[in-house]
Amino acid sequence: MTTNPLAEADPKSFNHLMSEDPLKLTDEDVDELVKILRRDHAIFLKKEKQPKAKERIAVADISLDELDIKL
Amino acid sequence: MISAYREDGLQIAWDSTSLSRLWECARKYYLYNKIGWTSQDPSPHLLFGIFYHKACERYDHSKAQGKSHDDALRDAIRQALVDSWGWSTDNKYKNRSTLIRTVGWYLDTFSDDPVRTIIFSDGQPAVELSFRFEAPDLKTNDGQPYFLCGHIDRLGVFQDHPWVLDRKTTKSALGDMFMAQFNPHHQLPLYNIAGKIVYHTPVKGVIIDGAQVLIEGSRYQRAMVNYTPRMLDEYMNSVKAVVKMGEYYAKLDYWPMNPTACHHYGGCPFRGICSKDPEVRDVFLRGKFKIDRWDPLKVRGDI
Repeated sequence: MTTNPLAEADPKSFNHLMSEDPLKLTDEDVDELVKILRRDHAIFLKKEKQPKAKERIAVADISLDELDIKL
Repeated sequence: MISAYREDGLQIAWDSTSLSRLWECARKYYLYNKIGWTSQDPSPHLLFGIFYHKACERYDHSKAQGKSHDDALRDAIRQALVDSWGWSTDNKYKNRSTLIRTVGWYLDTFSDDPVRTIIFSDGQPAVELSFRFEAPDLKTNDGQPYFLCGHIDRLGVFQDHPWVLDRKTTKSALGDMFMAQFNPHHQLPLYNIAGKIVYHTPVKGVIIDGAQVLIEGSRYQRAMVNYTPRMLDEYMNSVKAVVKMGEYYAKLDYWPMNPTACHHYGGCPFRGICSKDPEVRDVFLRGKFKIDRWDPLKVRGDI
C-alpha cells in the first residue's frame, strides 16, 4: 500500500483518493484507485512467489556432496 | 411479522450466532441475547465484515445486471468507500485501507469465477439472502414452533450443481487449518439446509472464500465442504438439543458460565465482567456495554 507521506499531495495517490469524500469521487478517480490496487497486488504476488530468505539459505547450505553431483 | 423473542423472553427464532453463543457458554448467551448487552464500540472485525460483504454484494448485483468485471468492480469499491467513510480504527489489520484493498484484490482474484450466481425468476441475483423456516420437529414446551434463520451470502452453480457460497475474512493463516474449521461447523450446515428448504435448491455443499487480511497484503483461498445428509441430520439434532437446553435454562432461571470457553478467540468480551464479584458486575457492564439486543431476524440484502 502507498504510505509515502509525500504522496498525500498527489491527487492520484492512494492516500489522497482515500481521504476524499467518496461521494465527490468521479468514476475516473475510482478507476485510478483500482489501478493502484492492481499495481500493489502484482507487487505482492511477485513477492509471494519469491522464496523466503530461510528457504534460500537452506538451498545454499546443501553441499555438492550431499547433492551427489559428479563434476 | 414474528419477533425473535416472546414476551416471556424465550427466543423462538434462532440464527447461528445465537446458537453458537449458547453452545459455547450459557452465560454469554444470557448477557448477549436475553439481556441484550453489546459492546459500546462495534469491533473492527464486525464492521470490516459488514463493509466487505456489502461491497461484494454490490459487485454480484452489478454483474447480474450484465456489467463488465471492471464496471462491477468500480461499483463495489465505491460502495465500500461510501459505507466506510468516517470509519476510524487503530486496528492494523482491519481498517479502511485494508478493506478497500481486500475487496479489490478478492474480486480481481475471482474475476473469472467458475461459480455462476443463480438468478431468480424475477431477475434478482441470489445474493445476501435472508432466510427463515420452521424448524422440523422442534416446538416449545407449550407447543409453539421454533424458527431457524440467517443470511446466505450467495447461491451459485458450479459444475452443474448449486452451492451455497460464504465469504470469511481472518487475520490468521489460510491453508488446511483454516479450512478444517468449517467441518464440523456451527453455521455452514444450517446454510446448506436453508438452501434446500427455503430456496428449493438441491444444494451440493458450501464453498468458502477465505481472505487473510495482513498489514502488507491480502491472500485468498477457496475451499468446498460437503455435508452428507446424515451429517445434516446430526447437525439438526444438535441444534434441537441446544435450543431445548436454552428452554431448560430459562425455566431454571440460571445461565451457567462455561469457564473453559472464556479464553477462546482472544477472550470472551464478558471475561472482564464474569471475573468480578456478582454484586458489582452490573456497574462494570454499564461502563463498558450498552443495551442493543441481537435480532436474528433483521433482514440484510437489497442494497
